[in-house]
Amino acid sequence: MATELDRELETLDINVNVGPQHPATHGVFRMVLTVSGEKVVDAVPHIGYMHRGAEKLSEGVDYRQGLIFQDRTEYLAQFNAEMCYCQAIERLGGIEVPERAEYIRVILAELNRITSHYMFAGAFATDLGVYGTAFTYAFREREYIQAIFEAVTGDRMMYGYFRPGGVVWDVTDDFKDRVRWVCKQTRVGIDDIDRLLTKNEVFLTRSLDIGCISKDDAIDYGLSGPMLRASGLQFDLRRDEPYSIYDRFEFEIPTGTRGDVYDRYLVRMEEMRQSARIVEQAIEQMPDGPIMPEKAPRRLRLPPGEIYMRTENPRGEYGIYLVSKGGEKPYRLKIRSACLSNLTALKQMVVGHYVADAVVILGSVDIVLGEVDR
Amino acid sequence: MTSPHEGPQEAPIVPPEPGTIADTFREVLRDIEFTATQGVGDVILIIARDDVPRVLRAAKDNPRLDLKYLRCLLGVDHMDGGLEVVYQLYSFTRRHGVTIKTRLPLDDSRVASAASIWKGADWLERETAEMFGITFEGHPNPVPLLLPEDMTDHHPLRKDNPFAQVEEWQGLRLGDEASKVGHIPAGYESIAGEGGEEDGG
Amino acid sequence: MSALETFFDNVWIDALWRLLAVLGLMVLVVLALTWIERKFIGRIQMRLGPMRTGPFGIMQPIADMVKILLKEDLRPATADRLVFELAPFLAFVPVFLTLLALPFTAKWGVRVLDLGLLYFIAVSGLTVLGYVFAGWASDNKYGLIGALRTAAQLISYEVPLVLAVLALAMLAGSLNLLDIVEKQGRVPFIVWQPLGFFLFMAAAVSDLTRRPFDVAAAESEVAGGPWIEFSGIRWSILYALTEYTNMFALCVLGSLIFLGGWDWPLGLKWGWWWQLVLIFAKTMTLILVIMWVNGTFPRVRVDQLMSLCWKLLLPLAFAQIFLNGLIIVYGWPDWTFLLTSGLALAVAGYVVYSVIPVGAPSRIVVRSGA
Repeated sequence: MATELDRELETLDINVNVGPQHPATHGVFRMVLTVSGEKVVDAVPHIGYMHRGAEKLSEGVDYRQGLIFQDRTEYLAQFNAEMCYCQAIERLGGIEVPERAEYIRVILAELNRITSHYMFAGAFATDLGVYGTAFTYAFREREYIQAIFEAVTGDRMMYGYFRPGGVVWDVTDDFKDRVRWVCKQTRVGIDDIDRLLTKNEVFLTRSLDIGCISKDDAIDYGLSGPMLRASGLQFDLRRDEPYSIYDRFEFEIPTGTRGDVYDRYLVRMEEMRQSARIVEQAIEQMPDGPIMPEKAPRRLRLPPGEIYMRTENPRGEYGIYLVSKGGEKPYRLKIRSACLSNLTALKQMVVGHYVADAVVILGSVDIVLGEVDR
Repeated sequence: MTSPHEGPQEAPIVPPEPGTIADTFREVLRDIEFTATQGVGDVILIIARDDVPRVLRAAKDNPRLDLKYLRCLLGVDHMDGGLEVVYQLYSFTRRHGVTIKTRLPLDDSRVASAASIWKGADWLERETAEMFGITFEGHPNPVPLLLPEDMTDHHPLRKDNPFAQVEEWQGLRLGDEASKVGHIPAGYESIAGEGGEEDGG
Repeated sequence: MSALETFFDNVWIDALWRLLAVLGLMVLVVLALTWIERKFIGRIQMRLGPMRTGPFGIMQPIADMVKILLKEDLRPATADRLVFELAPFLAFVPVFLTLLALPFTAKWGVRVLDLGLLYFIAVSGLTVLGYVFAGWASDNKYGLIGALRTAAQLISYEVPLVLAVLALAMLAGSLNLLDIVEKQGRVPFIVWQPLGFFLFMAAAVSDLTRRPFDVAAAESEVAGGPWIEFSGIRWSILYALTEYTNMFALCVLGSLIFLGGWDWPLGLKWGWWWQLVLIFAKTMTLILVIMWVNGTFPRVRVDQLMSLCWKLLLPLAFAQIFLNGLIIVYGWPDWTFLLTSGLALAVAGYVVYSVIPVGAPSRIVVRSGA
């Protein structure tokens, strides 16, 4: 708004550097904001601080070894990334996954979605300035689920549990009981955070109508996942391009209306409840049986061909474009990162808002730098 | 030591069934040559490099195609076959998707930029450009995305970079010395000399 | 009458020992509040707080103090030396001076002034200078921005604070804190002035730069705060000591003027020990409420902070004064205070709730149709 006063006063737009050591929890990410007074007039994200060459490294190892790079890429929703990778190989190679393994995979992937969204809730609240209350609540709930992951896989973070064809070993004996208990407990946890934040007046004023992006812009930028659904497009890969056994479960797709930060938060909260619903259905239907195909080859060779396998990760559409030219190693493995595509819209969302909102908007995109940079 | 006992093989071209999006493309753009093949899941259309701007523009704007969602944009290095740029598109309204590919000769790796068509193509093209050395003509901001700003001459994902085969690279680097006993740390003698022969998790 | 008593009758000696007593009290209070805050906030966040330093972490404030005292005294080479070193003191000393006007029991305070209330408000307003000095002397662009924002916040919120307290002084008819407390023998003033109490607490939380008004600290995320270049004991004076002492002083003031102080109930009848219990209990209640809010709310944005002050709190403060004036001039009975003030507070609450759409959560569409 150029008033007479603006024209008379000589003002200077200053550059504010946010990151790469970011006080909010998102990892090594750098955003250079050009600020005129309080308003942001330009935002240039700089990424690549965590680039480790996962795609190139995947070309040098065989298909089973290459699974570990998926963990380290999407390190907050590892099971979903592993699922995508394994499904890509299975579809290209025509490998059939036994039923029990499919159910185990879906249960673990959905539980991982819940933990990832808990992480989002805690970090997002911290970005807004809640002193740590939502963060500790979220992490306590996460710990219940992490205990299950640790019991099943032996790891708290880089699981490496899925294999092309199934999973590496069977789950523990008390798996069903623990998962049932965790589903009930998680609903309590989600309600706790809900009660703390969702109708809090300060939370509302800080997140309503902040960082809006319209549906058409969202599609153009390639947004996916909760970002796209918050903008009003009801599209979920689990329902619209089903993979694994997702077509056997009943669940709903929460969709927002305004595409602002608040809608994204609400969409993720509701997604957690729907994930718990899927897990409850899956745990009832889970059969006994083998967890790897009987004729699992000693050396996994895929026929020549290409596939673009996409799955619904907590952050959006995680894709693996796999080019195989025969042999045991992928010829080209491209990881389509949901966070990278989501981040392309950052400039449009941030420009025109205040500096304090920029941090909130970045938090609502829910990025994982490992996935952005690979 | 694993080594490909056969050379790289190409997938055979399987013409898709009638009625897929390949036919729609052929009807909408009658004068463009499409080579269609049915991939695993998606139809793949192979076009010539010069047809790329027209095809992509029609893919987005034509209401019968309405492919407004650019899912993925990547490059592939086919060594002697040239570089390849792959576009993965999807339409929410028509619920169909397609993979569009085009080959670029190694010594002339230019192609028109899709950044003016889809806003999301901006960063995806920057990454493909820096990893493969492809020039996207008309790109508004062709600076490296993931690599350092000054690394404009090294293209890591090209196959002639030594990481393509990890063991071979290690062999190249350590050379004959890898077989010398003295280089094997104490206590590891029992597993020294075993390659990737065992299977298992 | 021994020489000892004559000695203590001397005005200067009397002032000195009272001053030292309050100083000791302040040190104890700050140490205690450090521990209480960490335990209390820890419990709100579902964790235990300090547990290892002494039983239940009681020694934690001592550990913090020792750590801070042993830190290196850093000063930017280009900082203005005198202003840099003066800033923490300029922030802290006015707060300590406010403690000197507070009567802790009916018979004990450092000095009971006829204009005690006015003195309190006037002197506590000087802390702004300390923050501005700190930000400016740091020779840091972001420190300066943070300092100016803090100054804007503190100065803005002084106004509703002063007006709320003024309305109360109208009600009590005096600025002497002893008189105000004694007038609450039957009914504490919070009953007559709920709106005034709300304004006082809101302005106090902002004066302390605590959540939800801690924009000064939030600026560390992008633009630093006034204490960005301070470390060790300087930082401790500027931030921890000032904040806890200010919190204590404001809460004592709040309990004196709104909650009945050491008088209600039955303070004067039961003697000085009951008065001490009352006043510390009430002060602790207010302090815990402030800490509770600290652990629960996100922080507001700078522009929202300013509009809250000037568009909401200030008109309400004027309304409170106006209503008080009406009732006093026309000599209406006391309960009309409660009626008008309570109504005004209810109206304010309604306005706030209607401006922020609390019905927002129904915006999410959850269905599984194709």
